[in-house]
Amino acid sequence: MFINSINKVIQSNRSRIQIRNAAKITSIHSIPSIKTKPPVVKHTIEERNKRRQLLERPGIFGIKRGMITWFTSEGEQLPATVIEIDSVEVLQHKTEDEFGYNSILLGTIDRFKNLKLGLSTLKIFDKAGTAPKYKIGEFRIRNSLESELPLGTEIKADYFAEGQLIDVKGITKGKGFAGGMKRWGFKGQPATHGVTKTHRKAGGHGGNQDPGRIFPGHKGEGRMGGKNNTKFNIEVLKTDADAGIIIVKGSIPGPRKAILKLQDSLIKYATSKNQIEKEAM
Amino acid sequence: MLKSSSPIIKSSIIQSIRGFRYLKKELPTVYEGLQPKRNGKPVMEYIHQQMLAQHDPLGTRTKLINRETGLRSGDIIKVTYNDRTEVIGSVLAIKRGNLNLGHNILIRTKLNKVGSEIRIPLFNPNIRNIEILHKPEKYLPRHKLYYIRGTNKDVGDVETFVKKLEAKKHDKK
Amino acid sequence: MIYLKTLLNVIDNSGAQVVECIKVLRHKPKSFGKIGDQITCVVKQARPQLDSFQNTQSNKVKRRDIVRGVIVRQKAPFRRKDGSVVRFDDNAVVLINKNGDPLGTRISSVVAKELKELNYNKIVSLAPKTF
Repeated sequence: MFINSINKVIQSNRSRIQIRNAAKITSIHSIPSIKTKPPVVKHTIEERNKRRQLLERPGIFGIKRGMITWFTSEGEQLPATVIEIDSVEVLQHKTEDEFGYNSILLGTIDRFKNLKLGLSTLKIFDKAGTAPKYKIGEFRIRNSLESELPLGTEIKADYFAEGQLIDVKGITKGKGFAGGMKRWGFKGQPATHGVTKTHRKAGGHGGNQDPGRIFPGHKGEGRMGGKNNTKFNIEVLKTDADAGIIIVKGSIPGPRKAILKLQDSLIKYATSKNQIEKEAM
Repeated sequence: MLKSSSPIIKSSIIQSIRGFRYLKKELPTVYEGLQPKRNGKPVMEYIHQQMLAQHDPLGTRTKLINRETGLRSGDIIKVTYNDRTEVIGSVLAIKRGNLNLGHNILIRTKLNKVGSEIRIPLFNPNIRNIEILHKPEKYLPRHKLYYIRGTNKDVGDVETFVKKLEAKKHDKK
Repeated sequence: MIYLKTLLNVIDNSGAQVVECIKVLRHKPKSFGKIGDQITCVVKQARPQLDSFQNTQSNKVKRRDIVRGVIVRQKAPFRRKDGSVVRFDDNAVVLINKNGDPLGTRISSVVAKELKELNYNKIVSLAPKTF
């Protein structure tokens, strides 16, 4: 940084030097000292929050109900999934001053029996003025929306517009302990040509005497499914606020009756605070 | 003083504290839930009714695939599209959906001695009309007639067969 | 699903009767050809050639010729955008030159509707029926 600045000064003076005698070169000591800025520490929580790609508004909960065939007005046939939006209400606001980040606590499905919740969570419903919820979850947002979404407001299905792109998060169907062919698409062994008793095995894992083991994370047999999965950029075909129904194009991870998280498309709508600052500049 | 005293006093102190804490504990109030939507009707049934009202307001298509009174594999049908093109063939199989509009009909003909099949979605908005032209007196066994392909029970040229039938009707009159 | 070594019927009057596919053009090595794809093929069976003195009509191709063709019918079911699924009883081809015009002057049986969207208008107009 400092050396670069010296070079710049010398380059600017070079034209003058050529006019004068070569012997009269300006000494380094005559150059005034330059102030440098203190370095920014980037690995703090506040800087991380500024860098984070976040949405302007929270997502909502939905319940997968099944698949149908959908016809567009032009006569195209598409597969579609029906999602129910069942009494999604705002429970709590978490602000940056108090918690270090902005988020909204939402709950879905009113339930009064068999609630496995503590007293502290029951108090949250009391404060918000809602019935106890079966499922509670947090959605991070860029800035707090305390004035726009006060406690106890119900979010309906027309929260999303028709034709909009959304992301859907769910937990995939559990497949149990699966072999290498099903889990990773391994080839297996041939059915004939003298092959006996090995037709669907994974084959060699590549171990040797040194290191004498297989490194963790190697592809092979094991538990398949039952993991978080997100489907990005799905089109919304229809919304019905009174009936609490959203229909989206294509398939969605998870079995029927599974609870999903729907939010605006991250790729299209998410931005960081730093990006907004840059655009404003 | 307390140490030397009997354990009865100790237990009384603890009891008093417990009772005191129990009385002060405030239980949260529980509010009522929201009103059930769709009058408590299941989602898939509700959506299916709406879709039927949109794509089949008169109920003609649902009548067609009724298991007792509607189509049966072996019948001859004519499908006309909105752009006035037609397809004639005899029904090989009917696939029915459960609580969705996934019903379709597989029909087969022979055009210039080449067997050609098309599986037509029943509720497609491009379809203008589906008409039953002929019902045979005796049906072949099974509801899915995939086995007749390439055998002596195979369908012939359905269009000429239908034309001959119409000509016969005119002669009788 | 037309690969290397698939036998196809020829439905025009170019002289060939059965051809064998040796390459599906503009495709990856393991992917298959479908309706509207161009293939190069070898003539395996041709109509017997008549004497040119007696009859003016002569075959344009003979056995062992390497020719180009367009797939017009296929046995494997394929899906249209409106949800209907179509299949024919045989795999058939119409022979063309490098510009895409048919070699023969007549087509004997049905062709698929998809050819119209792929700008094979001459084949569609020559064919007795589309399905």
